[in-house]
Amino acid sequence: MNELIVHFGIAVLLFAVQAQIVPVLIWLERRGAGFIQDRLGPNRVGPLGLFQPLADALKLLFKQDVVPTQVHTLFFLIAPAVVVGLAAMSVATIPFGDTFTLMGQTYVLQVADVPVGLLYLLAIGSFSVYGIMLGGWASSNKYALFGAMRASAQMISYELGLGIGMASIVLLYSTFDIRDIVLAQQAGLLSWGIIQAPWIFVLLLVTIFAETNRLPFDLAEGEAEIVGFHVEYSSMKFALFFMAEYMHMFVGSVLLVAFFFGGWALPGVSYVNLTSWLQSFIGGSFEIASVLTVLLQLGVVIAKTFVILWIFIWVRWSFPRFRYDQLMRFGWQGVLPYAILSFVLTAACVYVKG
Amino acid sequence: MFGWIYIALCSLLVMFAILMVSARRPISSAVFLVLTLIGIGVLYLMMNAPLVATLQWLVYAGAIMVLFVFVVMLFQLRELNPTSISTHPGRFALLLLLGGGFLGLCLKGVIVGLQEQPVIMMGQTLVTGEASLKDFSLLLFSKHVFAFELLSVVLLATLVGAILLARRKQRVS
Repeated sequence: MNELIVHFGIAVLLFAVQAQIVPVLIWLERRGAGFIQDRLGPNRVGPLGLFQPLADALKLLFKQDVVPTQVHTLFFLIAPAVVVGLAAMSVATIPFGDTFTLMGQTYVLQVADVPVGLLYLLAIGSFSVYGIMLGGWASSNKYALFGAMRASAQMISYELGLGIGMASIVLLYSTFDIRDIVLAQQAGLLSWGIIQAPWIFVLLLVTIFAETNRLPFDLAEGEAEIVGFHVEYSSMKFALFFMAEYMHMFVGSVLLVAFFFGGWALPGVSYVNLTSWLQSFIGGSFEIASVLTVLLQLGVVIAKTFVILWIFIWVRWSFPRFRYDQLMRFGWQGVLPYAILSFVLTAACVYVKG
Repeated sequence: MFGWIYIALCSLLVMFAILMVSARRPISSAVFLVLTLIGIGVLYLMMNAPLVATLQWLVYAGAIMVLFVFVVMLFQLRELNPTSISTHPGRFALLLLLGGGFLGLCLKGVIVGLQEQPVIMMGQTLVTGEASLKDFSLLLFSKHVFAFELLSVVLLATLVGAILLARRKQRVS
């Protein structure tokens, strides 16, 4: 029973981390936009404008929630929930820290340590098309339907590149288990994926940008020029789609950290030594020391994640949006051949190394 | 506990399957089919076969059904008119007999299963762990490679057949 409670606690902790990243990210995005465009950004609510997302959320919650009369009510209502729910589910197989001991039992800081973690992520990723399609279709609005078609065609096209990139990762580390992938990178900086295979990093970064509908790929929701799939949504339901986008961004960044930047690894830091040092520092209990170490690892992962997230924000405010035909041509004639090439290159490297 | 979760999941799955057949909008049918397929994946997971479960989600619920939903949305199929379903008494009786017989067989299987092992699925291992993922792939691409390739020919045949049917219909009209 204790075991079940600890597992539940881990799940709650990691979900809380993911959910609480969203407002921080929104603040970072708006302040970052201000910084890049040489203006201030929101700085009135709270210190440094940190409470601005809270105020936004309050505003969105209290806005009038319109359900148009022509919509298919059930699908219209569940579509945002599907999108956010899938975004929350995708964090389940990502490791945020190594093992720790509690009440004589050993746990890992991961919701589910399954041997097919990568496949699970791809499966959840392919489900997330449903939320967008349902939302667009249920709105009974031609423009929303077109928007949904556009968004899902984009996601399906770039899923190919993503899938092949994941296959290259599997080839490189010869495992489907994300925890094993991170563990393979603990032997110093040279064993990190970014040194081993930087070409896969480029591929995965681009496809994750497209999958999360971030600029320059944000045709799904380009507010100014084209009508997105969520044109009939209002108030918090509208905001949930964007919340899911930020959650996807977080998951994608954590994945990139796990694949290429060694997860919780810090060059020159041995966590085993750190645990024993902590144990002697606080005196006695190994369990407390191991829990502290794991929390430190969680902090390291999140710090690395924020570096990648900053790249997301940086790109958003630096590049203009693709046109739809450019997007499709780039996806099928640029990303897909590059993905296949990078797969072959990875295979050759693995073969040469033996 | 495990047995109750299993029974609840199975009831839910049967409900989704019935809703899929009885739904009047094609899009609702497609959505319930997706839910049924996802639920079957959860069943595999409960049988301790995470590989089969994720493949079920990835291939059926993820890839194939996205195509279905896409097509259904694009063509805006009309709602099924309930009067178009045949209510001829003879056919109805035949259907009742067949359906009832099938249901009876299923129930018998469930009852026998419950009597022999109260928790049917617990502890049975199909494809678990890293090693067996490797074994599975090796088997698939060495011993069973002929059947595997033959299946892709079946898919090709389906494709050709679908094109043939579609073209013939076009010529008539």
